Amino acid sequence: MAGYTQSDFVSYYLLLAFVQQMTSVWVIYELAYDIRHGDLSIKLLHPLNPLHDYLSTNLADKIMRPVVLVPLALIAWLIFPTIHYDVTLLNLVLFGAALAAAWLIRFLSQYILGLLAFWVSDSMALNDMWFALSEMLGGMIAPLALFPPNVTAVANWLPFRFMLSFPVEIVSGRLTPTDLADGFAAMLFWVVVSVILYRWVWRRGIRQFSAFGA
Amino acid sequence: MTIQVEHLCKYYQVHQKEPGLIGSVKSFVKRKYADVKAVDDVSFHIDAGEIVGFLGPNGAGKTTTLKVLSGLLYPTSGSARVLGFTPSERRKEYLSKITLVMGQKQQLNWDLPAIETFLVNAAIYEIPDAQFKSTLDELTELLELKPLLNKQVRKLSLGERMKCELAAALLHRPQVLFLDEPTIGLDVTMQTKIRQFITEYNERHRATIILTSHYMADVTALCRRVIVIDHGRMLYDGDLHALAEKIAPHKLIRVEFSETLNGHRLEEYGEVVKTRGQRAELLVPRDATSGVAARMLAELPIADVTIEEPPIEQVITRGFEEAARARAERGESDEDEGEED
Repeated sequence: MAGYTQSDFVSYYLLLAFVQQMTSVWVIYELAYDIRHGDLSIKLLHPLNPLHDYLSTNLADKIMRPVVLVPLALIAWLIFPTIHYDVTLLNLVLFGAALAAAWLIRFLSQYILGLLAFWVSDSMALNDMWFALSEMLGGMIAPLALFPPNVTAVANWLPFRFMLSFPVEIVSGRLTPTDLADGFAAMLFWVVVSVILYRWVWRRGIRQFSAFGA
Repeated sequence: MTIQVEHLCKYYQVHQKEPGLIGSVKSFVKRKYADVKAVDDVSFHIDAGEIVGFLGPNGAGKTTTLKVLSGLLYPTSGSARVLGFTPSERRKEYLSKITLVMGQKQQLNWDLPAIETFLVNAAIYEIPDAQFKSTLDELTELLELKPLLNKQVRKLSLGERMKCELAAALLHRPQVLFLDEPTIGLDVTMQTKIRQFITEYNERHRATIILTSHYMADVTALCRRVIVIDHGRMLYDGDLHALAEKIAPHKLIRVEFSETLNGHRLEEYGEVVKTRGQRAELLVPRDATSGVAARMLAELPIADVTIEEPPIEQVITRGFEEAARARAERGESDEDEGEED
């Protein structure tokens, strides 16, 4: 199908599952709980931005996850010996960078949605929408290259690609050097946007929080 | 001066919802808000090293005031300054010098031993190793923490946990302590221990402390000065014992009779609080005390008589009851306002 063999699909989805596991984020649930139960107050008493607290909880999980994931990946490789990736040192470095960026964009976008709980009572509904979009446009239902060309053209620049499929594309060997350069530029753009947006929402949110109750 | 509060006000907008599904739909279409004056024009000054008790019934605005002072809430108007900082700016230098302990909230990690949270706090507050060690030793000694430090927090009893909470909140040696109900839910022995600890900490470090408590014993044991607030307004600021004189309209006369009373009606002299055998206690209007006592001495077979201030707990409870009655008579509502958790 459109240049994708069965083993291409298996290779794609296996690594996609790995990326999804390694970038998993649940901070919105923690934030929503802390805001509703007033536990955020306790974090705000410390001379440290609470973001660090949530980030380190998530990072601790990311250190432990490979312990389970790597053996599973080896088993999958035994079952599907046709799995293949374009493994070069450069690709591995780029994969690592893209994976870290995917995690950061995911984390910050969910954190920003979670902070909306300062204004709306249920931020979780927004998160469900965001999640559905990122499944659809992040390469979960199908590799983005298999979408109609004009959809692919747009999806290639949206943040969802850089939250999931971009690292996989790097080691699939299907990207030209120009595609790679464009991809990294767009990825960097979304990282910067997430950071700026986070700072903006946090500053306003904390004022809202302290003005209307804690 | 360590704490300066001038005309502090904190109003909340609270969303009002009628019960049931129809109420939900209504509130979805048009939300009704009510202004709640949690703190209403409160001013006070506190010097370094003072322990001040904050008294007031539920919803009086005590917690809200402490939250404003610890930088969690923006004042609606008025100003607060602590240690030369404006709390709501939430400067790191400020947050490193204060602590807020809430008896109903905890910072200890539930699944790990308390010592782990202590180590995290040492990192967050950037406490030098040597200072961390000596502070921990001191707190361990004062609060008898030794057997508790390495136990999972969820396995600790309420009192044990509170001791660890206090320690976690004091590791960075704050100069100003805001203690909101630090003894809530604890038994009498544990309450006494926590009280002793607070006194010790205050003496050793000359820390400034504001304390709220529902237990009058906490306040009478710890605070010479009290601030009384009710419905967000300040009713009194001054010496604890002078408070009794000011708001207690009565004195207590204790008498012991030399023989059993026959035919004398004690009610003629004042409000009889208690009689047991040949002893009795009467509440008498403050101004009339000496006259009544003289009459009793003349007319009754009295062996012993003492005149005292009524117990402070009673005085303050009555004070609040009377304030509530007065409000009801003026037709003001008396619902629970202000304190949210």
